[in-house]
Amino acid sequence: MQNVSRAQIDPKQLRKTLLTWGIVAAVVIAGSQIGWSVIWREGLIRPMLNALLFLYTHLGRSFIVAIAAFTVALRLITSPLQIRQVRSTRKMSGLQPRLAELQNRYGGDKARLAQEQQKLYKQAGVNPLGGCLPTMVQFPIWIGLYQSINSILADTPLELMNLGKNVYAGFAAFVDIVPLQSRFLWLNLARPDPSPFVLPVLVGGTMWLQQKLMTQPSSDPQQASMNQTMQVMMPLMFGYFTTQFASGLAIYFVISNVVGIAMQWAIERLESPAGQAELPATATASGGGKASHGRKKQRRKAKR
Amino acid sequence: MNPVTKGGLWALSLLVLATTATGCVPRGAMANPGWTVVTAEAGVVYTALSTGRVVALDAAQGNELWSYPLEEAKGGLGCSLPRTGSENVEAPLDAVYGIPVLTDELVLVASYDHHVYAFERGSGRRVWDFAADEAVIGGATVYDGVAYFGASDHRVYALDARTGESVWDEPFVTGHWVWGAPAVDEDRVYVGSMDHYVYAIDRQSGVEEWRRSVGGSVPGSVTLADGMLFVGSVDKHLYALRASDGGEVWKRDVGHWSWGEVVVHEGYVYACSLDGKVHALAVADASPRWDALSLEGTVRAGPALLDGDLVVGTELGAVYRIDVETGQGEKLYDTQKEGVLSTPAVVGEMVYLGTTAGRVCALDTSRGGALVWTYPPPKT
Repeated sequence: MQNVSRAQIDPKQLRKTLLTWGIVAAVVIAGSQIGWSVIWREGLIRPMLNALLFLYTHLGRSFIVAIAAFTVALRLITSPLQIRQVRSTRKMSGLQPRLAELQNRYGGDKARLAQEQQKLYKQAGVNPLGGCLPTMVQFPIWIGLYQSINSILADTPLELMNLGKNVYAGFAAFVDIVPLQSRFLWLNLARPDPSPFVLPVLVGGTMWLQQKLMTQPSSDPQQASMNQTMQVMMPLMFGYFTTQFASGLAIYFVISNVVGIAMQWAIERLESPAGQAELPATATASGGGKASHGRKKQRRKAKR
Repeated sequence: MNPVTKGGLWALSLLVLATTATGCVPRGAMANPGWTVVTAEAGVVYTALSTGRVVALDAAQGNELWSYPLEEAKGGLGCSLPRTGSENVEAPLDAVYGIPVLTDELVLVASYDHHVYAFERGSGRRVWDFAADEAVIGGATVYDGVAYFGASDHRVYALDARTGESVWDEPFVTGHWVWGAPAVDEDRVYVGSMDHYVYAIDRQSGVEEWRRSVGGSVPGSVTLADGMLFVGSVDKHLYALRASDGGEVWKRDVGHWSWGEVVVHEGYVYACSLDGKVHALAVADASPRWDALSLEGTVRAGPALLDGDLVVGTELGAVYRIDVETGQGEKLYDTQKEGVLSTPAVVGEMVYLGTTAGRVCALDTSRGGALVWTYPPPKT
């Protein structure tokens, strides 16, 4: 019995788990000692805000150019996450036939179905949350960026005060640029789009396109329905946000979506087609092989 | 559950989340709160709360004498859409940042909703309102029956304080936002602008007399005393300019933005800066009277004079009394993390201060800063 449980522990997986929990513990300890707000401000808001101001200062004092450059840089930095997300989604997509098969076979026995699905994921080396995790990791970045942009486009005294407090003391050029030029075409970037449909449509449209490119087809009708709902609801929701939020933030959404679409396109092409086929195929083959082996075993047992 | 029903539930949840997250909630919780400003005179405290209500309170007990509007507008779907039109007469004001100004009969309140409002001091009845093209951040200054104020539309306005009618043919135009209250004397109106300039405008005609570049934007008010103008800039300096021609008398590095109004008293100018310091500088040459006093937390507003001492509030909610002779400070009161970002009002031994949580506190300094009352009163 002992030998069996020892054999089940994968040292690589153990190291990974320990490292993950170590990082979580370190963050929790640091947060409780230093203060979450301090970590949030010093670790995310101030660096982002000052980077944006730096770009604004050196790229023709255009907020749009600064935000475009910043978004591209941010997307490049987080591209490994996006690549992982694409790979994970593809692998999951490749497993859909096998998952559907399991669903048919064990649909009545939820516990067994879950067990078999876990087994299949393990064999294929897929984490079912792998597609969501990169997005979740990027969430704090988006929220931080939202706060930074709001602060930079300060058009209320409170926002200006926060901007003044968050700028690094050595940033001498700041004196010349504050308050930032917040006019762009018909927009006051610190306020919602007065039109009020141009930016909401742009945000919703680009987001829909990005979602469409990123969502892999699913053979599970429930999953497919959920994907479709999300594909429509997310753009609608962000379109609505755009009517309420500063148009500078909406511009960021548009640029971010466009860059995301371009990167998705590039990643899709750069990822080797052989690899694409191989992963799900291997997973299916190995899963299928084991399953057929299992079926043979069952038949033998039945004969006996 | 049927996938379509499930999708519908998802959609509904997301819609509820979206409307809640974007501020579609009762107006009392508006996304752009002001910082509760107070002024006091003749036994009455006038305040514009951070929730947009203008209230008159009995200075002794804190009882409400009148409130505008009488009832707060209720929220609902779509409530977060901007409501700046004059049809919203019953809606509270948008954020107020400037101290209310009193005339014999009226209290003038400037708001982020682009308007300056005049209320009858006795009843709270709205007598007139004036719409600028953009937000009015700083308060007005009344001189000889005329109210002068600047706005985010880059302009400086002069209105008859009784009627709200324009006095100048055209408003005076600067190069950027005007966020501070002007200083006014017999001849001129002085304002600082975010375009890095301080302007002197002829009080009668509204025509520019001179302009002087300071090192950066001027977010706050200009103070006039002893023939000099004192103005803080985002270049972290406090400037002293000659009122007659704008010539620089001195400038002094104060470590951070000096945003609030300065106090000039017996040959010294007292100024606060965002890094939590209080400075005492000689009017003549900016030599320090004492080392800058460091307080905990940002100090946005200027100090108030209390029987020769200074009263200063911080963003963290502490209120200090500072001895002007020695520069020693003692904590008078702590609001428990409700920021004090506007200058307190002082009448005799009483200090009235507004907090970012929309409270007004009355402190009796003769009893070591004891809290006499708060408005709204605590729920029992």
